[in-house]
Amino acid sequence: MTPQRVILGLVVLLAAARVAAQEATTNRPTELRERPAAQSSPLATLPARTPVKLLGREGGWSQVDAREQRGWLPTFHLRFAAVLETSSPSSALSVTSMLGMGSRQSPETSKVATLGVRGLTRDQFQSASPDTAALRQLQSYRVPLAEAEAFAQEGGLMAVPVPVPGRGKS
Amino acid sequence: MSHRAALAVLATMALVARPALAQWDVGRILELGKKAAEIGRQAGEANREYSAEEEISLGEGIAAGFLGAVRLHPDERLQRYVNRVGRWLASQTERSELPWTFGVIDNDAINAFAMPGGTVLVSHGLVRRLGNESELAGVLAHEIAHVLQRHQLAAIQSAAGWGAAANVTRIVAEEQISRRGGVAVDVKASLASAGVDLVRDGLFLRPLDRRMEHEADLLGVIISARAGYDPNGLVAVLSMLAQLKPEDAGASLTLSTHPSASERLAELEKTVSAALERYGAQPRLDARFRGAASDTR
Ligand SMILES: [Zn+2]
Repeated sequence: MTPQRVILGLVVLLAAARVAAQEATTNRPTELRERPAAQSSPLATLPARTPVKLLGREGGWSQVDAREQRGWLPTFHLRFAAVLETSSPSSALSVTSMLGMGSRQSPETSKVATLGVRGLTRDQFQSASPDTAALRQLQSYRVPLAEAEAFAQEGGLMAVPVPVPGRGKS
Repeated sequence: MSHRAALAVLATMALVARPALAQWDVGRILELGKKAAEIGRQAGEANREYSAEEEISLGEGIAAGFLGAVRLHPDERLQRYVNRVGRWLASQTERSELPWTFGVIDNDAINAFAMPGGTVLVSHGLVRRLGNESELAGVLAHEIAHVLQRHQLAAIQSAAGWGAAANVTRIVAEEQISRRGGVAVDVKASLASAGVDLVRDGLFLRPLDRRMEHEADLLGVIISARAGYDPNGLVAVLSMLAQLKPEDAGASLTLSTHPSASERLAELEKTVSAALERYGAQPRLDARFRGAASDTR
């Protein structure tokens, strides 16, 4: 793919993303609820593909405005606009080359989002000298297990045996 | 500090002293080289087991290389908090005994990284966009799962033809030979040095196989639930990622090296919706998170 084509493609995607940003639609018929809980009373039944405005999140629930009502939906019942499958045209070239998203990539990885990279670049990694003082600093933050256990207890966190699906208990 | 000097320090740090190198014998070295090449070839195909020590040394090299490029965040209280959450999560896994080390890097992009042997780094940009402790737990548990499943190691082994990865495979092969009575090699130092090379060669710019990402999401949910958190924290984080606009995403290696957030959400619903529902009433700890992660700069 030529650089010009990459830019052109991204400009088109970007235009689409601007329109769709922050919006979502329901991906199935679903109940809009008063509170973020399955037993909370339903305010309305929304058909699939109802556009919603996203306001907040709480665990597996998303707060939305839909059809002039405010309520909560299971996050799994939403389809989010794919805003991240885009990039700004100015960063397109560097990112494309930086992530090696040329023709070498399989279609699977090349459809993964690419964004301009602020702060971490290939150059930065390439020229890095190992920083052993920083590694020691990092390792000094380790906490003993007993401290972590006390911290969990303070927060009311209780260990529960939860098996990995399909693997039995492990 | 020069690269070499730094490596020497690193080697010393990572090292539980090994016997000094046996006397060199040219014939033996040649033979060793041949054997190593042979084993290296096999290792590229088979899924070689690394010892925990090898994994840790390699991971320390990777972490040192990484920290040469990105600074740690100066808020030590936040660093300690993230370590407490992370260590507690890791204690609910079958590799609780690894030297688990968590850190926040001073970078505003949205990133999280796992290194072999139990080092997990998250960016300040990610932490400040999280809403509560269960969301942080979801992120850390996903990264912990990469360590548990040795995903980075598998990626390194399968990257045949990538010089830095081939090097790691060769060093581990040499170690196997030395265990069987060959010349003792300073495998920890070599691995730490190979780890640095991996970072330079773009280890963190290479996406993992998407099956690994989905597995880390699934295990992340299970680990969070075991640790007593609402495991939907990861679902919430993914929905946050799915809503980012290009201008606030600021560029994220995590996002660019992972399948899309929407795809990950769909996969989680398919594989662990029962656990998400069942443990959804466990704590999310909003206040404790705000206390520790409120912006301190
Ligand atoms: Zn991942």
